[in-house]
Amino acid sequence: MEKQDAFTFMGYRRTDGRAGVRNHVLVIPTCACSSDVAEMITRNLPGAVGIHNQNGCGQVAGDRAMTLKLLAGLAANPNVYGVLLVGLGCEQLQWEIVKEAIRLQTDKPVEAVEIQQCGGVKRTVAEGKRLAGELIAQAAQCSRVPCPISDLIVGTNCGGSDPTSGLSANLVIGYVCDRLADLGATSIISETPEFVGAEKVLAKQAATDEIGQQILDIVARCEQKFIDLGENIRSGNPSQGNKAGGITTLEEKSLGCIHKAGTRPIQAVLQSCDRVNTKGTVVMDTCAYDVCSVAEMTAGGAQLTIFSTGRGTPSGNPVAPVLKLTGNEHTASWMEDFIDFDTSPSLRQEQTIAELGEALLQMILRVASGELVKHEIFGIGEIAMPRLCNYC
Amino acid sequence: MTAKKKAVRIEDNDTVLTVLEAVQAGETASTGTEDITALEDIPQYHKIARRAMKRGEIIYKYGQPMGYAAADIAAGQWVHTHNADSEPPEGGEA
Repeated sequence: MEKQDAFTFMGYRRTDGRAGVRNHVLVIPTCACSSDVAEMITRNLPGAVGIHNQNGCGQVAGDRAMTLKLLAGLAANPNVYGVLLVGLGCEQLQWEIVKEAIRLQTDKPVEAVEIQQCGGVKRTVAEGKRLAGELIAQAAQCSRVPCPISDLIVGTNCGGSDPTSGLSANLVIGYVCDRLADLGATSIISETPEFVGAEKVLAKQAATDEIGQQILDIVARCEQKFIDLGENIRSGNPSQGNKAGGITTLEEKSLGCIHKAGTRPIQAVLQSCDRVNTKGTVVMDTCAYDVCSVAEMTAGGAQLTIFSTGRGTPSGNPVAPVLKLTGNEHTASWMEDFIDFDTSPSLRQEQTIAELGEALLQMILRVASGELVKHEIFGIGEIAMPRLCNYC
Repeated sequence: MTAKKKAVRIEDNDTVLTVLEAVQAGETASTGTEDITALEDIPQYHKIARRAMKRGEIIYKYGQPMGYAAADIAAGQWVHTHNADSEPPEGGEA
């Protein structure tokens, strides 16, 4: 066994046993109508983070259930100390419904304000700030304690990919996923549309035939949903831009994406936003729009995500830090204010994938212990929500 | 003598390398441990054959099948949409 002390982090132990790497108060608007007021409450309150919610009303039941699952999952994430729900009053997704869904997962503090009941913007903002302020004061009483790396659930993602993603950054992520599995932690492979063409390879990596079949099933279902809409996600893939960049076949493109999964057996296939309770490498059925899939994994309990980008994207998440990697040396320097980790030394044949992977593993532990990633410094954290008519 | 151009092999059983910089015919693409002489110009991030492949043979990258040779390919040739495809060519696998 490796010496475990080298693989601990300082986290917040929550009452449900999970470990947080941040100690946020999360302000959640239950619908688009209360999103601006929720943002006014969050503004100038260090310790509070917020999301925007374009949904919560005017939705069919299946779509509404997806929104509820995402909101409740984000609230339940161990990086969140407590939650303030900001409702309008007449929306479909009443704050009581959201609170009940959170309660199914955790007993953390949940407060609420409602615009129609409080009486307008000013009074709701004042009451919301008072409640959020109390939660922040309570959160400040929490201390970081040593936690084993096996408490970590690490999401993986790619966005704004270029040829260096599949040749460098995704290989480093795959290496780290193997290490996390060996150390008893969890990593999540996501973005089902990007499995298309390589699903049989991923299925072969499954721990059992049943799990392998589940991987094939989620890919088939994803494709069928688009076919039902008269769309084909295989057509135009790889794109002309991909081909100009050296990608010849869809299989080649998808193999570059799924290399993030490393080589260890896949232990489970989860639905979007399912709470992750399995150790080792797991698959979550998410869309491939990165701001959405990161949110889905975070709702499943990922405390942080490692994210490869080639062309460069500043995206993050308000609840869980997103550690941005690139294998493109130009992107690493030109957009250094949102790149956290440069894997391009592997392409210059200066460092091996394993050397970079070990360095990334140590950075993950530092970030889990409180070191800020770049998007947190700039306050970048827009999310998107999975939908019945989903992103691809 | 021109400098060797950098290339990467992802898994040992791959039948192609990816060149990290544009390579001209006659130049050498090198992983540091393996050298292949290019028979034709190869754009940056495109693939060069590590060894000869028969028409219909599976092409490996990432240690996995990424498609089929649509024509006979010599070591050092550019491998792309003109001589590789997702589907096996007429006549089936080699």
